[in-house]
Amino acid sequence: MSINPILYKILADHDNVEVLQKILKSRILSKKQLENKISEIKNLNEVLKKLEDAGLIQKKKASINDLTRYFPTEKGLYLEKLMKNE
Amino acid sequence: MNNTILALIVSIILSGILGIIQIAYDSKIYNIKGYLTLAFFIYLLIMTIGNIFVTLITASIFENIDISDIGNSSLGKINTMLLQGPRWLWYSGIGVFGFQALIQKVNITIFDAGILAINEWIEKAKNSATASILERYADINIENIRRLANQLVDKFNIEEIHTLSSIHLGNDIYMEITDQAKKNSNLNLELYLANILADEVPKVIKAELKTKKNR
Repeated sequence: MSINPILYKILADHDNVEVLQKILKSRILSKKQLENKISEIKNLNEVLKKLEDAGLIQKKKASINDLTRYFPTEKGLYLEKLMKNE
Repeated sequence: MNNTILALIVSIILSGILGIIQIAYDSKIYNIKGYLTLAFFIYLLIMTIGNIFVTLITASIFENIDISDIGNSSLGKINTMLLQGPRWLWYSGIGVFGFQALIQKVNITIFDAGILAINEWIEKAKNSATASILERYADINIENIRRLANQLVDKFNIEEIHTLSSIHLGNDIYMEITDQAKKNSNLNLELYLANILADEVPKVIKAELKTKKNR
């Protein structure tokens, strides 16, 4: 598994990295929990979409949007290991 | 039962225990229901095969040592030491923990390409198992919330749901949710509150349902 240029672009953004790190640390977070943890990020939906499109996180939709779960994918977990080794 | 067979049985049991501990640490999921995934069983299988392999090598080395030839050598001393306790315990211990050491150290490289990077392959299997467990657990989690919320709506009347929400979510959050709901006429406020309660305080809601049932 390698880090492609698109991934580098995503990881260059501080907001993306912060949201990803929160999800990696807790493993599973609801949208509401994420909003509570990172209140300063205004475009959370956009950030989550970018991370999801990059294949770093996945979501499970709940009947209420606030309760939708976000968790890391295999690629996200691999990236976590790379970040720890740096 | 001979030492080798006993050692293999212990190795398989240890592989299962170590596999669960490693994945629990990595996924932070401690609900065994979430572990029923194909990727997790593949990871366990890889670990078990590796452990069995090293256990067999260990047993084969020590079972075939002739003490009279090597009595004073280091291998002879180890063999004498093994005779002090049950051999199968030593074989499985060396097998399982020896494989863990192999995972960390063996990395054969030819022309800069890793051909036997065991650690990398085990890591891939572990990440795959962890990701699949997280996905399954998220499913279970959401399904539990939905079921609990529906039970709450079925068993409690509107006033009771509002009272429970105000008590357990706190009045500020309760007011915030009701204010938001007023802006959306299509929203079933009680079901919404029941879902939030089932997510935030599931144990309390289960206790409330149990108390209601016993009344």
